[in-house]
Amino acid sequence: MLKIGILGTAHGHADSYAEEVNAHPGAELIGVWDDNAERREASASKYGTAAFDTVDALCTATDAVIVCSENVYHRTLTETAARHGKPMLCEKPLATTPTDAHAMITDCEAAGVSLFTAFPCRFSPAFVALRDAAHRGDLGEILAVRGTNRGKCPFGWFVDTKLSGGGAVMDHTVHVADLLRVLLRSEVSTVFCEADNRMFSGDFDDTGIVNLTFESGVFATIDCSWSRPAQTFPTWGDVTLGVQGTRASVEMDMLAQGATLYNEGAARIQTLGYGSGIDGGMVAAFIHAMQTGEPGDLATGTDGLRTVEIVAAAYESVRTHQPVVVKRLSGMM
Amino acid sequence: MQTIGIGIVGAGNIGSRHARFWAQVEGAGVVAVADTHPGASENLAVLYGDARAYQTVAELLANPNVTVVHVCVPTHLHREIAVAAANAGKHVLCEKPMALTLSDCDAIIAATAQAGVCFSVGHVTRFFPEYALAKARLDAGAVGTPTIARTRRAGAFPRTAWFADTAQSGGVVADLTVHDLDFLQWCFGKIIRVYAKIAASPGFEYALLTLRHESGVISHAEGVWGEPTGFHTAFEIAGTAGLFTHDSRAARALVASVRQPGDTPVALMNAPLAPSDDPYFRQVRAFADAVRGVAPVAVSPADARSAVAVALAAIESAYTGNAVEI
Repeated sequence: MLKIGILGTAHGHADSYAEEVNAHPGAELIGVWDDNAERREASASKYGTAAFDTVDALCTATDAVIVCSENVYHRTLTETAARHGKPMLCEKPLATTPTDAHAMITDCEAAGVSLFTAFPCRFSPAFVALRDAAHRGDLGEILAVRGTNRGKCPFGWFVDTKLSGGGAVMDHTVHVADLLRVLLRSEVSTVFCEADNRMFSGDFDDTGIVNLTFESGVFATIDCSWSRPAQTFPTWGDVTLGVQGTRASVEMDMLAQGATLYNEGAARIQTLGYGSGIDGGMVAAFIHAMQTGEPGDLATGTDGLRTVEIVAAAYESVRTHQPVVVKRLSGMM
Repeated sequence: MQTIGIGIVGAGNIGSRHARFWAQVEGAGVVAVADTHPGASENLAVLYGDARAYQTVAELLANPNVTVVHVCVPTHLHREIAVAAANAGKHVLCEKPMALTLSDCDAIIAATAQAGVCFSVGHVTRFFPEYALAKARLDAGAVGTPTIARTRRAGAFPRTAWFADTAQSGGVVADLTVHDLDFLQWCFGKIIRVYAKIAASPGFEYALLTLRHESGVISHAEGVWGEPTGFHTAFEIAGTAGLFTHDSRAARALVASVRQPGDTPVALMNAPLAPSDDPYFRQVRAFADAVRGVAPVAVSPADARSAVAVALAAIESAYTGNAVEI
């Protein structure tokens, strides 16, 4: 039985990961830690596991950890886990700056532990089918991709840039950017971004279009906006890709498998998704990697770093109003 | 009611369509058709009673019964015909885009202004009920303050040779996406910065535009020539208090499918409208109202020029790789 601990439950995805670990026959959630005592106890109770008072105590008790704290704490939690020799899966974005992400990779390399980035969209059956078709050449040569990862504003610490490192561009660009890297098997060379705070007043960006140009010449846009109305929109948001190949075009709407419920007691029309969960595939792959050393489709630390570099270039472009060449730090893991 | 005599210049696909709707406008009628292709003007004119058929524009302009010239020729020829029509004292309705250079736009605007005639450009998207509804609801505050908008317009690769020649049509951005550029500026004001990418392969042209408006709104426009699933449009407008979305693929009132694969499809419009609601009818009727002095032109010359300016900036951005300020 693989013993897993969760470091930080600030990110809502911790709930889903905990559920998936609990459901997995080969792993056991042995505890959670969070710097907020109230949240720590609440999470432990919700997941049916123990609350640990210190990071060190939880790390000592586990075989592997999942980091789901606020973005800015990913680095220190990773450093601590690495010091304990514990491999880990870290929530996206891997870090808020390329420097931090790179340091995390270096630390894990030095400690000889593996570091993975939580990009569950890689495990969507729709994306896997698209990826495989593209890699077989069924689409011809891919020329361009239109991507979206729009959602409702998550508020809370997500809009506190001291904890999140940025707004919608920080939160939502990386999922689709990672899918595009996998799909296109190419790195991003330049980034252009228009982003602004226009929906909810504050010092964070809530609307944005990120343009990526890959070394292969393929271009793509990602709408990362928190543009879905909080009260009335029927789902939390979307992940879509419109892929233009010389032989075929493919439209992927990752979460489109849903039924519509009109319930008189509810404030809104609801879309009830029934598609295969994506977190389960990722958590299972992580557990499998811990057991066998085979990473499968998991995103590595370097995969995480590549997307953090894209985000950094996007924010620079917002300031300069021109495309920015991505500065790439070396990454091994 | 005073009769408005319509002269159609260019008897191709769009000229034929406009002629059909002009014939339905009360107090207006097609009186002349000109086309350089032998037989083309005759074939169209014969549908409209005693309408005259010409092979030169000069002959059409010399016909005193022509009060409006509807310019329906390839885009690179708009200037020559629109200016000549204005100089002949004719009101001018020009197919979109107005022209492929700003100097051509300026020449047309100057000539029509000097002649004191009505001039507008066929940005028919404004007359499509879903776009008109969006604009009306937007102005009424339905989404609060608009923040970010997206448009998509996808269709088959043009079958006519001149469309495929970028020098004559301007390509997918100037010819197709320009509809959305006009709509976006109509809704959110002037676009001040453009970053665009264009991909092309045989039978396919694709563009993604990222736009910033002076009002602060960010918008994104997608244009496809060579869409295998058939023509469709989609847009969404997000704001501080809501989201307005439309997708023509999900708003089909009629869908016909033949039982045997490969059988001739049933010819049905999937978005049928009452004749008086047809956007092409409403467009020419609005121009007739302008000619009669009942209303200003629906699309001002400045707006139409501005749409061209954005399209040209997008093409420049795609060519240089830089964002272009307008």
